[in-house]
Amino acid sequence: MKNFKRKMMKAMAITLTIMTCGTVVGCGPQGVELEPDPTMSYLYVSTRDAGTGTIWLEEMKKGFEEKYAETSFADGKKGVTVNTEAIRAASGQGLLGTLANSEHNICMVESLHYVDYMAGNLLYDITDWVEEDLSDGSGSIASKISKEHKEYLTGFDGNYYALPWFSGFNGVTYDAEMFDEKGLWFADENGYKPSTKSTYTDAAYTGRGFVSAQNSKKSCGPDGVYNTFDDGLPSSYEEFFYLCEYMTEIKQVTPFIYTGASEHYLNYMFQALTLNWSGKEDATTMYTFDSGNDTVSIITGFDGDTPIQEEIKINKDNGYLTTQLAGKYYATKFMEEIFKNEGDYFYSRSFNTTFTNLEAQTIFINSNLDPDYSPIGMIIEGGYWYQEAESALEASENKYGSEAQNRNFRYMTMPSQETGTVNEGAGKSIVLGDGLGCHLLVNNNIKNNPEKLAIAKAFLQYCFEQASLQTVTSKTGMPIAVNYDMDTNAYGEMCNYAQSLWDAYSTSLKNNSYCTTCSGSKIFLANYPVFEMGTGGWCSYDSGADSYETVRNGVKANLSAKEYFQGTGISKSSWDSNYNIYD
Amino acid sequence: MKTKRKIAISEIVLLAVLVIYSISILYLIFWGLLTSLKTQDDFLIEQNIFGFPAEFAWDNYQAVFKRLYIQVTRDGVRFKITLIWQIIYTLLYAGVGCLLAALAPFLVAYACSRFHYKFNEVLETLVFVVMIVPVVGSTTSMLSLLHQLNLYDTFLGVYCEKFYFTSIYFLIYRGILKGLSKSFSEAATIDGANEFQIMVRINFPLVINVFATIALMYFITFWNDYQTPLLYMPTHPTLAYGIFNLTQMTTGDLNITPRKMAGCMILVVPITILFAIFKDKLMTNLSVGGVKE
Amino acid sequence: MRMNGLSAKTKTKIGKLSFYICLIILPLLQFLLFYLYVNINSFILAFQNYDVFTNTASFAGWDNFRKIYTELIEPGKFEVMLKNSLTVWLWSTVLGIVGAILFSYYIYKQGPLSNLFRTILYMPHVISTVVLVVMFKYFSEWGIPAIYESITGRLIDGLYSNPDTAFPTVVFYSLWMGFGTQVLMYVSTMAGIDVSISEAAKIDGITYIKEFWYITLPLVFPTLTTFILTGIAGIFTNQANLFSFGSTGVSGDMQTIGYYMYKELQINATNKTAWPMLSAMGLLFTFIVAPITFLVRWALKKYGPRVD
Repeated sequence: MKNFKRKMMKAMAITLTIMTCGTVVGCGPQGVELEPDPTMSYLYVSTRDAGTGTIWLEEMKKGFEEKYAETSFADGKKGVTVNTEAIRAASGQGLLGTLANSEHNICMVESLHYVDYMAGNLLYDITDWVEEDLSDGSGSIASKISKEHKEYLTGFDGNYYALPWFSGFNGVTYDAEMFDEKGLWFADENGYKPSTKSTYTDAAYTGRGFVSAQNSKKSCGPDGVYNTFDDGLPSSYEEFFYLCEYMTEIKQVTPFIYTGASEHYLNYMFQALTLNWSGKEDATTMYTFDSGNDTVSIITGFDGDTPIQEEIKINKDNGYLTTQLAGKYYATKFMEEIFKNEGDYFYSRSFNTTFTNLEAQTIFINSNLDPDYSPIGMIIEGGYWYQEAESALEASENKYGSEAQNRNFRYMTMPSQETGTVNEGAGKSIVLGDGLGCHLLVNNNIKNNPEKLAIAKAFLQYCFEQASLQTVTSKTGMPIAVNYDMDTNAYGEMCNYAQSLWDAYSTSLKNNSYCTTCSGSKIFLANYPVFEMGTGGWCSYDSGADSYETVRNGVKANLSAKEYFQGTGISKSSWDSNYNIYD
Repeated sequence: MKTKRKIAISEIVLLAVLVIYSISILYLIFWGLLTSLKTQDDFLIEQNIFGFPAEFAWDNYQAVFKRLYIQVTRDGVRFKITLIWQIIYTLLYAGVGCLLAALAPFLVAYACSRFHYKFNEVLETLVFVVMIVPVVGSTTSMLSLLHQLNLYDTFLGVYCEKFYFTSIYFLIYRGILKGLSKSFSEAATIDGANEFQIMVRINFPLVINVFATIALMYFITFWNDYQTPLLYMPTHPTLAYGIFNLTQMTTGDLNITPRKMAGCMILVVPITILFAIFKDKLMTNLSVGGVKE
Repeated sequence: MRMNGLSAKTKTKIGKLSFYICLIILPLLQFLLFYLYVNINSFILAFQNYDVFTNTASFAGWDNFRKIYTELIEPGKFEVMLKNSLTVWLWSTVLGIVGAILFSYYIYKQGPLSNLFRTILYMPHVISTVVLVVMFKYFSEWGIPAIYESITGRLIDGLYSNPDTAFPTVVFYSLWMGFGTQVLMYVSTMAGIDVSISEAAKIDGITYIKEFWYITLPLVFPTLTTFILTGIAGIFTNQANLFSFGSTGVSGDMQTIGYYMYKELQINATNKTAWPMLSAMGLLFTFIVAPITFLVRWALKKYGPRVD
């Protein structure tokens, strides 16, 4: 009995302690009131806490507050304060459960699952705001959006419920400074050829040689135009592998590094290869499932190991054929070859599943500065990597001084033919496609709040003014997925890498080779995770009992490029029962 | 005087296995601790995976502590939920939650073992069904219910959610309660005690060790659980969520191995020390059983 | 004797019934609201299809169950997942029970350092699972290759990066970290064994292992049964910490049924179009697991070791 009493006393003591804590909690931790000033208007804007960073929001907040410092959005109030927050969950379906009750008025969401937000009635209809001319005379927001993107955004009922934001094209970044030092460019003529054999074709090499002291004029590159940003880069798969062999055998350079902790990054290169091979028109059908009167190059089967390529008109009834795009097959073949040589081509720890993106960036940045390291030529990353690597770049500068400043990393154009080389006038423009799916949206929970609506409208329109678009791009290095220019000053403020991103983006816009990776097709809208560019299932093998996220997994499981490619397809029966079920 | 017991061969084998096991657990924690004190240069560039740190990088812990807060907004006020508040929320969630989770099956098991109504079969079947049936897509419905009852983002809401009897512990309680001697409760009845008094003063004390053990196990489960508080009381994040958040970061200077280990150590080391100090108190129930005075 | 119009017996009956109701009313209400009401939709979902554009659900008959066949069973995916689930069950759950019982016996018999071992066996449970998996994964990716390199001079992939060792590594982790709860329960149960029984057996000259087999094991068998049963019920739900290891990106050849369901739920937590098929899967597994569980329960009752 005594023991029991003691135990009961103990239990009561614990309960009392917890209740005391509860009382303390009732008072809560110290908080900051978000709307402390009744004479001020407030807006809440959130962004994703990830690679795209918060700089864009800080810049927009600063400029917007300045512009509207004297404006009254409600009686008795003057000026506006923008409260900002970075949220890790602002991606995909992450905000679906919380948005309705959230204090955030505008959100930047990555990989927006548009259909799910619409089904939850979470997004405010911003059509009027989008179609109104902006105050800076640059036209309306709608006038800056591509036709395909408009169809996506208005795909439900003809109205806008979200707007495009960052154009996150992913792929390969290379160290142009190292390419200069080590002479890794392809020469225009009479280039140095260390070998007569092509490792890609296993036959006589038919591409160009490399620059040397005697001959330093670079080749025209994949676009077939001299004096552009891709001069000297490999213009065929054959040349690319010739470069990799040159790097590893002679120049003691490791071709690639990437972050094993995010295995799907390997698909970034796969995506860039697919886009460049297919071209904008063919690639677009992966989202629209409609080629109109044009035909699309499709691999319809194999004769042994030889692909059978046909030109087929695509519509929603045979849209499954877009999963067998010819460009995708050749990209698979390229990646298969890369991973067959991964021991030589990749930094040794790349495939360590805890090797983080920051660690990979750190090694890449320092590899050509640290004498104990074998220099690394390229990193497979998202276009946002340079922002993420800010602390690594700073640390590198502190350690190595001036030689670590103003690094010349650049976005790499992928080749779009298998063998030989591209001569002047015979190339193709770089093809880019957004892989991040970043969009701005307005929370429907402010629909009955005229003050918040007025501020949200002003902020959204402010973001799309010419000066704002320039500011965001020059500060973050990342283009916005709309049509706009960068003036000389803004361009000049950007670092080399950011300039290379802009060069690629503006060129693709100018040459109409920017592929909008979304459409108003109901099949696409309803199945976004399957077809989206960045992390979509279209890159992954799923056949029979097995599924592999990347070509590398497939190669490790002894799948050939042909087998992996076939496993990324959707069958007609599956298309008819799961996808083509909308009018 | 304790007589010296002969040690059997099978006991020696078990001893060897347990020694290897113990070393593996302790070494893992030790390695994590060493790594957490290395600079990025030392670990990644110099490839010092096993050795002692070339220089002790205490700033790893500084950097982690600085970022170990979670920003939440509640009713127009933004709070920075720091480590201490995460611990308080965890204690409230796990501390009270475990008592409720241990109590609910006891009450129903007591009812089923002490009283013989046909409805007992219904209750017992419910327990089996719930244990076996995996439930799909209930999150949205649960959130909707909590909103309807005005219990969303409250501790009361999660307490209601934790007060379930359909767990394996119902079976354990029922087994033990059925096996209790009825003589004490019969004597108490004769003395005029009512059912409540019999339960609280006679039968509950007989199973209090089991109750404490179950509560302890639930406490530890809830201590580790970051998903439930995140879903149902998002503005009261627990320490488990804070650490989980840290390990998931892909941006900022925390996204390197030594700092990820530092984040882990912040949870591991204090818990290990506390556990080492209080283990006798926590585990004393394990060795005591039977009928109490 | 009648008092206030009711006999004492009737009053006692009413009193007992009232107390019974008081005991079960709150837990039952909780069940009705937080389980039945919340989940009734998900049971119905198994027989529905959901249209995202019109935001409506329509009756789909057995369509979802047919989809399970065409998308999971026919291609052979389910077979792989089942094989992995059974592998986890055998190596982690079954071996885990055997190990836990033996370790518990060692502690119950107060072998050398038993207090220390009891603490260490339980320690992984006190430390956050998330943290432990992170530490284990980092060690297997950095530490193991470094040890191997220092011995052989060759660099190898980390245990989890290497497709050949990834799944065994995950299974090993489940076994290695999974003893704590069971040890706690078994030691607690063993401590309740009447000391006089083992004393009498010792006098009769019983050996260490024979005492375990003939005395201790039968007496803890009810507790053991519970863990065996939940282990069997858990074949379809055990995700073997795969989500902690690889989030939603674990390759198909490593997935267990439990992981697949959990991953699909995570990916589709708010995607109503995916719920019907997942719901159908849940129901299907129930119809498989429930009879197996009842069968094993019956078999254990009938053929398990007896106390007498």
